[in-house]
Amino acid sequence: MSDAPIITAHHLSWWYTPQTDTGEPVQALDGLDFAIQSGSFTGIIGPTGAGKSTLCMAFAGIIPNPEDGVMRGGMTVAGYDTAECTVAQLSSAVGYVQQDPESQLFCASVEDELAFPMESRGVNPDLIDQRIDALLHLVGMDGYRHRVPTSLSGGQMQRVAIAAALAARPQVLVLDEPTAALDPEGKRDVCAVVEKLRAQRKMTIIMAEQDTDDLARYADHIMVLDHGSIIMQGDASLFTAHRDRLTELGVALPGAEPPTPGTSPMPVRQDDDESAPAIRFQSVTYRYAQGGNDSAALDDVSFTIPRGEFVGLIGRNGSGKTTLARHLNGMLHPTSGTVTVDGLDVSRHRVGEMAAHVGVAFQNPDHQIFCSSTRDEIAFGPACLGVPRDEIDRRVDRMLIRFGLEDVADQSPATLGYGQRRLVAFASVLVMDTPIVVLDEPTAGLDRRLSGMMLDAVSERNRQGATMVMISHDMRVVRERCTMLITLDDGRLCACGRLALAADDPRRPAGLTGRRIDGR
Amino acid sequence: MDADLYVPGDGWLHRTDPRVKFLMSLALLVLCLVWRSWPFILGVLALEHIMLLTDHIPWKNIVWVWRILAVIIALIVVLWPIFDRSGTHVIADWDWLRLTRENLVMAAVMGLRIPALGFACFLTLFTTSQAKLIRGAVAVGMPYSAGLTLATALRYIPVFARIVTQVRDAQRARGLDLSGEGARMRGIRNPFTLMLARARAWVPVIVAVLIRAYRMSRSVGWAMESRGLGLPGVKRSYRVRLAMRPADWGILAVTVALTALAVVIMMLS
Repeated sequence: MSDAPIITAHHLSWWYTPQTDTGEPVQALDGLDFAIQSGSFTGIIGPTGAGKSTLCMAFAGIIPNPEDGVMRGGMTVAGYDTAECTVAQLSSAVGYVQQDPESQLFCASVEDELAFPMESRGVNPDLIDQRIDALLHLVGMDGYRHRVPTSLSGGQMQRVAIAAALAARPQVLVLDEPTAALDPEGKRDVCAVVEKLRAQRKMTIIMAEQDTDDLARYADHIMVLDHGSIIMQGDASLFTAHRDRLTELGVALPGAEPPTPGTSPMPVRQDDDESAPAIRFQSVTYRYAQGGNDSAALDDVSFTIPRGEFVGLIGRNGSGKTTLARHLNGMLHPTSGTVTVDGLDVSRHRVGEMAAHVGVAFQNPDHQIFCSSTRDEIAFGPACLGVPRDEIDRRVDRMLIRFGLEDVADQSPATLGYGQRRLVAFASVLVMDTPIVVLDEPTAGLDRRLSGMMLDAVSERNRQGATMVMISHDMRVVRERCTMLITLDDGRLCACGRLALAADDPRRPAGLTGRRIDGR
Repeated sequence: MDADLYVPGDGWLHRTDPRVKFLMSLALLVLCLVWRSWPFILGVLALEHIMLLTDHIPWKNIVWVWRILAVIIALIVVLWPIFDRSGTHVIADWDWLRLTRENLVMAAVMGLRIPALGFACFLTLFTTSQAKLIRGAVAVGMPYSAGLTLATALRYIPVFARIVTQVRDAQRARGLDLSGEGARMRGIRNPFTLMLARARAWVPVIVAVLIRAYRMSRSVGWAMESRGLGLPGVKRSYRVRLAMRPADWGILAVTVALTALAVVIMMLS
């Protein structure tokens, strides 16, 4: 690491242009002053909405141009004044990797993706081919040269994006939450590449992250952002020295990921014989008609979930979790077997009808947000279900208070930050008051405070009797919240049972018998 | 079709220079638009299928084209006789519908023309990679930015199709009724009112897709710029180099000859 700063910021502030006529400019960065040494590894952490992505965009020159807004102060990166040069000019010094892999891989093959930055710089075509091979080797993607990027896993796509960012041989690599959208395997792959870069290349690396494990190991400079300001910075010892403050902010502290919890044989409540289970899968097999491979996405899966359980649905990517979840509200119907949910044979009902019984909270809030106000967005689901207007208003008010969205009730949800959009999308599913709720990675990409807020609301609904099914890779959350665990591997049911809970654990249901429910 | 429109392969069409394929597609498009002859259009359709199959384009891709065009074909065939009342050989005559031999033949021609035009485009799209498509477009005089925009738009068609599916599923999971069943249950029987209700039900899907598409296109633009697109003072290089092989010249000659022959026959008939 050199003593000379490669990046300096002087009183850097940024306001996003309001996205509505009546809106106010939104301040995202507030008077930042810092210097980043050449060859250092800087980690940027902070709660959701702290300004981490905005700062990464400032490093890449997207702020102040082409993004709309007002900048005060300034930033110099590798000798470039970011206010005086284009993103393309700055790209000679800065490689920029965004959070969403799919939005930044715009070519039809991996080799075209890596060739693009070199072609843009007029590199001799004879050299381009050699450099593509070297870049693919660097990110551990040898043999993927001719693959279509969209056919790759999230982790592989992100490694291709890193290789493309390195193709112009920049001095600085900026990674904006590169693992936020990835499963644990993808995270490990991307982190391994960053570690390799750190060891092999003398370059400055800046990585914004929610997950602080790797930053604690590699980073020699940590900046903590909150509300657009740097509230502390230093080396990795900051994680221990300011533990309480970071926890209060919602920053996940470094620590080993807990192992997958074990399950015990499935005892049942005394009253199970009298009430229908929430969910029953009987010999369910599902094969995709298009796009899938020959093997079944679900292969002879049978299990029963009693009412009121909080089920963790775990397994590697491609193990069948999403396919299983899509059977619960009739988005998919089994190729063979029967799915019974809330006493209904799902095959005989439309998705719209099942919506009264099963709410599904998707990971990406932009799949559903469309209304002109947050209030209308949350009210949409109950209105579709025919809930009376005054009851809808009562429920919506409850949700706005529950998730702290009162101030943005009349604002377009599409103009909110990512964290608040996630809350709106989540609230608009919980508000439907369905007896069964399916959650797809509810904590992914969120800080501890926001994910805790969502999970507390879910636990509350669970205590009120609703059955929860949560797809998650986060074993900490599974251990803390779930009462049951279903593990899938390659479409097959590996385990289905109750989490081993302490005798005084409040999640332990009363009236358990030692009798075992067989999956079938 | 969850990937690109391009079907990876090494058939004769894949190996053909993109400029020659552009000419083939253009000739077929113009001839099918100009010549309203059902035997000719049927012949073109057969030729296009033979070309794709001999290039080893899988049947599933060909069937996919038919599936996406089926609704348009059906609409044209059904609506044509309603709006075109021409013809002297009357088969049936009601107030609002006059079926003649001529307007039925024209309905068939128009119905055949859509897939003929579609497959003329897919001869190039299925067999030309994005890089060659851009390189070929630039070689025939199109500005690079226009070629990149066209190729990127084509590249993202399947991505946006997937987004539509994801958004539709998310909205249906909130109880949105896209089937029109809800309107029927509310006692609406008028087919136009039903159609309007179904169209209105798609608004939440369309708006959410547009918002998502806007966010994605913004990220794509940033990614392109941060990889040097538009770097001032630099002459862009191209990894893919084009060179006309003897086979390309042969295919070009055959294309020109067949086009000329079709024009002569069209003028004589």
